[in-house]
Amino acid sequence: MARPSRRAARLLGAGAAAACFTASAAVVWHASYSAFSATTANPSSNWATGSVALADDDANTAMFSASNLKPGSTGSRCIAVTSTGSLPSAVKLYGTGSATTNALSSWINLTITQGTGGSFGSCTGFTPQASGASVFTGSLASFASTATGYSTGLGNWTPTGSGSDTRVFQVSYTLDPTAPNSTQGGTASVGFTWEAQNT
Amino acid sequence: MIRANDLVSLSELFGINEPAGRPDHEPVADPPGRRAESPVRRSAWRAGWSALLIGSAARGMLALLAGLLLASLVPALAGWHPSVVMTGSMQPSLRPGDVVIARPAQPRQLRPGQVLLVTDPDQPGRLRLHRLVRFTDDGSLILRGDANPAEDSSPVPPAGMHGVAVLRVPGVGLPMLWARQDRYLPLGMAAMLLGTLLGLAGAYRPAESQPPRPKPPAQARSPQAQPANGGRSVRRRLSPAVCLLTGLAVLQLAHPTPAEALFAITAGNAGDNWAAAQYYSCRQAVLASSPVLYYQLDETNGRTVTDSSSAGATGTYTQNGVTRGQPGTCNFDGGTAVTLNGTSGYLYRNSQSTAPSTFSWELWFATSTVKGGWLIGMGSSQTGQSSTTDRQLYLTNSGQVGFGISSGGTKRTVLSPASYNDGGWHLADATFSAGTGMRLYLDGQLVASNSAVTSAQSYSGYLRVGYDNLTGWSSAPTSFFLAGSIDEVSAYATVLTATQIGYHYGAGS
Repeated sequence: MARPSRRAARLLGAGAAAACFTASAAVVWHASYSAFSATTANPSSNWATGSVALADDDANTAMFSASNLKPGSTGSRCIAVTSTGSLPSAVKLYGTGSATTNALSSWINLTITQGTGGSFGSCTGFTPQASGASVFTGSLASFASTATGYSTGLGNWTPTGSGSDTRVFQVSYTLDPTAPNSTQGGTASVGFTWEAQNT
Repeated sequence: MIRANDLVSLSELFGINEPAGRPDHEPVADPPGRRAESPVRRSAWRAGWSALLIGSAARGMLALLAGLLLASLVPALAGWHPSVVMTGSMQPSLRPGDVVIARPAQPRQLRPGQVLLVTDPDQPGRLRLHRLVRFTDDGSLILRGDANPAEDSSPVPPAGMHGVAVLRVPGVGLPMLWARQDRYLPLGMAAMLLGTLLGLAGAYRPAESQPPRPKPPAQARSPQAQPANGGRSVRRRLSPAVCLLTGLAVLQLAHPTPAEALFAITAGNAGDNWAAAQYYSCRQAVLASSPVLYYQLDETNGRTVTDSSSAGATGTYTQNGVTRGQPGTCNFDGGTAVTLNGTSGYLYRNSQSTAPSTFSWELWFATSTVKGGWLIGMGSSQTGQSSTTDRQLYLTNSGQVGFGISSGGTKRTVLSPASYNDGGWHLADATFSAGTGMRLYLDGQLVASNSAVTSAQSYSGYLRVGYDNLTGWSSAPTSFFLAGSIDEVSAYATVLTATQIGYHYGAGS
C-alpha cells in the first residue's frame, strides 16, 4: 500500500482538527439550545446520578385537629419520615402556613422529639434517641416564627443515601395551664414540613 | 505549570524520538538494547495510512476538547459566569459535569422558563442553578429544578441572582466534579485517555522526517539548528498539548464555581390546627348568656342554694338526700357539684313564678341509674309531688332524656334517641318558644325537636330540680327521684342558640 503523500497527510490532520473544532461549536450550541430554550422540561425519572426522596406515613391526614382546648389540655402524635434517596442529604423541619387568633399559638407548648419506633397511627414503641433527641421545645408561635424554611429549619438528620433511612418524630402539645382568658376562642394552625436537600 | 518532562516521556512511550533540548539532564546515548529492534519497520508503519488516520482522529478529538474548553473559558473574559453543574436536579436539561455560563442580567429582564444562577437561599456559600417559575408579590424569584417534584421552598431575593444561563458546554467540568467527589478512578482514566490522545496525535510521521540515529549529542543540544528533525516535531506537538492542558487546568482549578442543581423534596403534615374553647370557665359561658337563675351548686354546707345570676332567685336543698362538695365537671372554675340519693334529695326555687312562655333550662348531670328520674322543670308545688308539672327534662329507665310540655291539655314529649346513664357528665338543654317550638339538646347537639308545639299551659309554680311528679308522661320512669350528680343548673328567659349551648358545653367538657 502506498504511503500517504505529505499533502494528503497535512490535509487530513488539519482537516480533522478544524472539523472537530467546528463540531465543538455545534455541540455547545445544541446543548445550550436544548437546555435553555424557554420550555420547562418534564420531570425526569431517570436518575443516572441519584436523587433525594422523602416520604412520611401520614397519608395526607393532619396529625392534630384539636378543638375545645382548655388550659392543661394536651395531646401527642408520631410521624415516621423515610428517606430513600441515593444522594447524601440533610433533612430539616420547619413550619408552613402558620396562623393564629387570640394569640393562642403563643400559649401552646410544643415538644418535638426524634427517635425510632412508633408510627402515624400510634406512638406505641417510640423510643427517643439516646442523645440529641430533642428537636424543638417552645411555643407553637416560636416554632412557626423561627423555623420558617430550609435554611432556618430544625434537626440534624443527614441520611447517607445508601438505602432507606427512617426517623420517627413525636410531636406533643399542651395548652399552657396559665393561658389567660384572652386566648378563649382562639385558633392556631401550622403545617410541619420536612425537606431533604442533597448535600 | 505543565510538566513537560511527563509529556516527553509520554512521547517516548509511543516511540517518538528522544526530544531535543531537555533542560534537566545531559542527553546520553540510548542503552544499546533499548531501540535495537527494527527502527525501520516502525518508521514504515508510522509513515503509513493507518498511522495517519489514527493520528488525525486523535487530533480531531483534541480539537473538539479544545473547542469546548474555549467555549467554557472565553465568555468569562466578558464577565460572564461559568460554573460546573454538580448535581442532577436539572436533568435532562443539565447534567452533572456540564459547564454552564451565565450572563449577568437585571431582575426585570427575567422571564419564567429561564435557567438562573443564584445564591443558594438555603445553604450559605453555595450557588444554585434552577429554572425560574414565577415571581412572588415582593419580587423574589421562585425556582424549580426540572427534575424536582415541586418548586423550591425558599424564594430567592432579586439581589441573589447572578445571571441567566445561556451556554452549556457538556461534560467539560466532569474532572472537577470527580475531584470534588473523590472519585479518582474516572479522574485517572480521563487523564490516561487524554495522554493517549496526545500520544496518538503524533502517530503519523512522514518517512523523510525520521531522524538520524544515533543522535549526535551536539545536535541534541541545539535543536534550532535542526531543520526537520524529531525534536522540532515533538515541540510542535507539545505546544497544542501545553495549550490544552493549560486550558484544562485553568478551567478546573481557577474559574468556574460549582453550582448545585439541587435536589429537594418535602414531606410533611399540613393543616394541623388547634382551637381553644370559647370559654374556659362554665361560669363565664353561662353568665354571657344572661341567665335568670344560675345555681352553681358549689355550697359545701347549709340548705341555701345560691343564685349566681343577677336575679337573686335563691333556692333550697332538701334536709336529707343531698351530698354537697362532690367533684363537678367544670374543672377550670374549681367548684363542686351535689349528688342526690334517688330517694329523698332534691332542690327547689324559693319563690313562685309564672310558668314562662319562652324559656331555656340547662343542667349538667352524671348518673348510672336505670330507674330514671326528674332533672329540671316546673311544678305547681314547692315540695312533694305537684299536681301539675310540665316544661320538664327527665330521664327514662333506659337513660334517654325526655322534654315535656303540656300544651292544649295534651302532654307533648320529645325524647333523645340515645341513652345518657353511662356515669359520665352530660349537658342537657331544653328550649321553648312559640316561634321555635320544643328543642332538646344533649352535650351541645340538637337531638330532638318539635316545632309544632307552640303553646304551653299557663300556671304558677316553682322551678324544681331532681324530683317531681312524672305520672302520665311518655316513658315515665320508675323513680321520680334522680339518683345521680348535678351541677351548673341555669334558666333563661330566652331561647338559647345552638352556638351558645355549644359554648356552655365546651366550657364544661
